[in-house]
Amino acid sequence: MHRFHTFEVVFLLEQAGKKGKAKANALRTALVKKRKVEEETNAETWTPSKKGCKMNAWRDDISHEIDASKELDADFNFPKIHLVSDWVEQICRYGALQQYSAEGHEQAHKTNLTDSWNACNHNLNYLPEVIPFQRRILYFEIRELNLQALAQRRENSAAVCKVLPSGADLAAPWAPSHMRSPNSWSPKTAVMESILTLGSKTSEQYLTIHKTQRTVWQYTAARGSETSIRVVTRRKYRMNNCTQWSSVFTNVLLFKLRVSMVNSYLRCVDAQEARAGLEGIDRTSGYG
Amino acid sequence: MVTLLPIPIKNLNIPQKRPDEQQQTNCEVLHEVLRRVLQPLTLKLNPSDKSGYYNVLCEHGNFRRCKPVLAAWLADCPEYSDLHRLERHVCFSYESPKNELGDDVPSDKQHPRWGQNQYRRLSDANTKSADAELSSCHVHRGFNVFQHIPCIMSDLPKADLLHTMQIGMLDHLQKSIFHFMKTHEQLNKYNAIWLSVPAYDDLTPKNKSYEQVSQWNGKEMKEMSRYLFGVVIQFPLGGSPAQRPIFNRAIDCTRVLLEFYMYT
Repeated sequence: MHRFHTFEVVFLLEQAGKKGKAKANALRTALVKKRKVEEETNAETWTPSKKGCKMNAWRDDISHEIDASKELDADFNFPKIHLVSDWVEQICRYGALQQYSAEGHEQAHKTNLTDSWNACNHNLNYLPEVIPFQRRILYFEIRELNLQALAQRRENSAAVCKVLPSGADLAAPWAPSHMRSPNSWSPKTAVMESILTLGSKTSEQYLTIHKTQRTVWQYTAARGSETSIRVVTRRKYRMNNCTQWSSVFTNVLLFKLRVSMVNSYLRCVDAQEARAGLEGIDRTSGYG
Repeated sequence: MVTLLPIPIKNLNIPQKRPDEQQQTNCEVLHEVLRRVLQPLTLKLNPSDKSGYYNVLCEHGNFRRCKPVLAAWLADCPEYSDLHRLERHVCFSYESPKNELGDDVPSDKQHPRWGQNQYRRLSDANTKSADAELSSCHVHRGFNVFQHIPCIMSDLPKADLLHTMQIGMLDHLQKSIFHFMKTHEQLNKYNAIWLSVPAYDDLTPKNKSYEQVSQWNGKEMKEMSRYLFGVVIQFPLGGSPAQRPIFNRAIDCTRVLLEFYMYT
């Protein structure tokens, strides 16, 4: 910050406040009047070329005087520039300040209040609608995180069934044939089978969601090795149809779970393929 | 979250005395709420080795013997002034005079830190001389819960990247650059360069120049910090040879601040 304080003078003119600017304008008016008086008194004696030279000199003089006046009244004495200087000491003591930001709290104001207010019925008694809305959003976020964490490991599929007992059939361990018999494993067939299995499930899932909520959910079923879901349009759900709303979210969560399981499996396949490729290289030869 | 309170509508027709009284009442309420929230941390009359410890239920279902300590908090400048009962535009860490806030003071020549105990004594004294001494230090008289907590308040980290840097210093820098270009009659070229920033990666395409945007939020400022230096470094291309040294100094000033922001 020492270097910043060295170079900041270049922006000093822009720091002039209202009083400084008013003072500079008054000075400009006075100087222009003085120039006009001099012009009138010497109108007969000055030749056109001399008049042009004098005018240029006056213009430079006026701009110089105004700049000097603004610089006198300008300063950098505002609290935030001083706070930044204090940060140097805090960084030395506590490390990077990335976590010290009110961004999350400011954002929470939107999710906690604005979104809840938009979703409620705008009655006078809005609190019983706003507070459960926040709680429901939180529950779904936690549940999604739980599912994502469980889906990272395939052996935890049983635990996923416990998290979502109603969707046990969908969240059941999904194991293609080549996973059960490692001897017949082939990367190409494994990927193809995974994608085909996912494609058949996505169409069912799409129909379920579409029928329940009349909401359009667009997704790419099988695009290379990546699979994703994307919401195209989503109508605003009012508080009175929260049951349907929760069923939609449950379906989407189950779908996301299946997608993440397939993706993690594909990553596993890629890793195995890479490992197999590396093992095939003869490291002892080819360096001569 | 403790509470969600409504923000009153600003009415310009009411006399100035009433908002001042309301502000005073709000400040009293704030410190009363903080007194109740921070009750377990406040100083005891006869402290012992075991005082200040509480049984706290941990996530494993066990009770732990804990001693809560105030570590840090986040707020914007006006809120800090209210929390510390200070006047506006005053440093929260050191007793720096208002006319020296913009100076570069080395750490070994820094002004003394705020003396919370001294201010508590002066505030409790309730005499004219004590009030005069408090006002000379830019401190308001009244109860302040932070003066009753056993830690050095001015020592705690209170950095806030959003308000101080993103919508504080970066906004200030951007305004300064805009007026700088206006003064040097290069605003059209600056706007042309600004609008030509491509929509690379997650950067949004620029449809408006700086003066056409009415308000900038933190996210936009964060995005702007990624390409501002790329725009500023084009300054000398449009200027005369006499302007180049000044433009180079402006580039250095911008680079130093943006580097500091990126490193923090």
